[in-house]
Amino acid sequence: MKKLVVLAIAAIAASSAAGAAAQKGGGGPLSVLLGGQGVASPDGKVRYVALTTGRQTIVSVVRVRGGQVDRWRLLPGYFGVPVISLDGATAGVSHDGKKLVLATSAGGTTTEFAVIDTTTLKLRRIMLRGLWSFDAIAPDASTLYFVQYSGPGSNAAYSVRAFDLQANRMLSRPVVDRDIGAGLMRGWAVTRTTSSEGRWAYTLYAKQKGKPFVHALDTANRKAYCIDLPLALGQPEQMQLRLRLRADRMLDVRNGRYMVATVDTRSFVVHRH
Amino acid sequence: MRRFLVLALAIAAVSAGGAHANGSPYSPGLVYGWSGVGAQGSGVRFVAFGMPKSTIVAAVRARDGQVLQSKVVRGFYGVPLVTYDGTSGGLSGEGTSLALASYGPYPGQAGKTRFVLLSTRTLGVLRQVVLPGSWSYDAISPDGSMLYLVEHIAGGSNPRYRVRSYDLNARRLIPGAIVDRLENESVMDGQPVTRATSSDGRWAYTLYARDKHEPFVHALDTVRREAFCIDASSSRPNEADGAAASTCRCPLNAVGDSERQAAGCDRHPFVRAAAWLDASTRRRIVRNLVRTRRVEGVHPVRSRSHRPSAVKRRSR
Repeated sequence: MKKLVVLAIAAIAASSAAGAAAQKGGGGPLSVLLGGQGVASPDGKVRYVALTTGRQTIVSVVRVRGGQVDRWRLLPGYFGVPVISLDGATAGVSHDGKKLVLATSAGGTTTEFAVIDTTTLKLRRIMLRGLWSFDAIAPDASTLYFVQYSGPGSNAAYSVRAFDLQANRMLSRPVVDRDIGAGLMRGWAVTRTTSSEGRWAYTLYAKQKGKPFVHALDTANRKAYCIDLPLALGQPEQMQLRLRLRADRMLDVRNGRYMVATVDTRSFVVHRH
Repeated sequence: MRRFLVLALAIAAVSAGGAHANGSPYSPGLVYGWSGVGAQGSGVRFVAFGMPKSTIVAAVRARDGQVLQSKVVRGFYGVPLVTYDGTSGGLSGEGTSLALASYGPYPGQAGKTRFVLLSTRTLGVLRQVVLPGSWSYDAISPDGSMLYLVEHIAGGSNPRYRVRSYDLNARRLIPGAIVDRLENESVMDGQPVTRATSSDGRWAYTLYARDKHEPFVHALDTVRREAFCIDASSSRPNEADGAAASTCRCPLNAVGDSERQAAGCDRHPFVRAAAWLDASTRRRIVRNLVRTRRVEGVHPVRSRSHRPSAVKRRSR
């Protein structure tokens, strides 16, 4: 049974610690990445890298081949590239390549996001009350998806929320699997893969007590589906799982070298190996 | 004509930097972001991002653009440009030290110029150098112990300056200028157009264009604190060559090893300089090579006929 599940992100609530972890390649949602790989543009030609003094942030456009810094801009405030899963994956660039989202390292009473025009590097700020993290962006950057946490700590529940960038407002209802209906989820976002057109974000969640599941977010239509994986794995083993989306739209779930399940992303039918 | 070319060159170089390089009225200036300065063979480039009160220095891997590490340095620094074609400097030949520079006051005006030496391994500050007056970076010795700076005496279209050395271990400016001993003129003029550096980082060959004289190559031995000036026109003192050298934007090529070095421009064959150690005296000899087809190697003649008197001289 599909279930919108449990549990919040590990103990990454302390923002500074999360930031430091992210810089070392650890971290996870609620943390941001400074330096390092940043986040690559959809065409793979440049990567956006954030560097900060604490009070100010440099967002730089670095050529992947050659490492030249083509452009950069100084932003007031502390921002980093959002880390969206515990394997250190980053996100934030829309598939059309026009918008980049940076985030503060969550932990205060408010969470701030910076939406940057990748052509002009002009900044637009989004300030949200409470604990939030970046989740995804629509291919045309019309909608941003954030994760709203019910509170700090490793056991906090959360919900996925959609922000209409053109209307500059948060949609009132969470983005949920309609078959389930519940708005609150629990689990650790372990890894993510995104469809080639940038529309679907498939995130594998691990659960402390229960089976892992894949959260399939349709970023173009503001819809979500939860797909339970029939895998009797403990939490440490669930943390090792990885996703790979094939050209035939089959989503492979791998544990190291072994494929343990396949999800048909058209029907959401799961095949166990 | 040449004055126009020199001025146009300087203006073009400054504007070519665009958002990346901020030109100085008296020196090639500093570069922020962009290519920074690359360590030969290491595949890492060092980039500076200047902010109002601090600078972020980042080590970027050229292979994939990943930022390997970064650090905040107090003060407003940039990667120094050494010539108007956008050649940057600051990295020691051994690749262990990185010198960044600030802008100083206009020559003759009150103020200070600051430099900072960083470890390329940690990006931590090794030394800070603050000098009264108008200075710019010129070169650094391969082991990072000696900094070569240009002390600007006069700005304008025909700037005058002298090359000085700063002992980073002793933390002091060494008295006197680095001069061509045979020429013994400490004050130089001209605009640095392009530069080639020997593979070990020891020799810096800089082509200078001048307002009313022929271009010349300034060969700086950063280990022995010696300099040699070689007239580019000593073989072909004609207007066309001078003008061509003034607009030479192609990088000089440096070839050779620690014993023998040469630098030259393939498109302007009169721009040639070679240096080698005299086998008998161990004295470094520098002379120009003219009309060689390519700088593919140096073929030194280690006979006594190549005494310093054979060095082509820069006429004034």
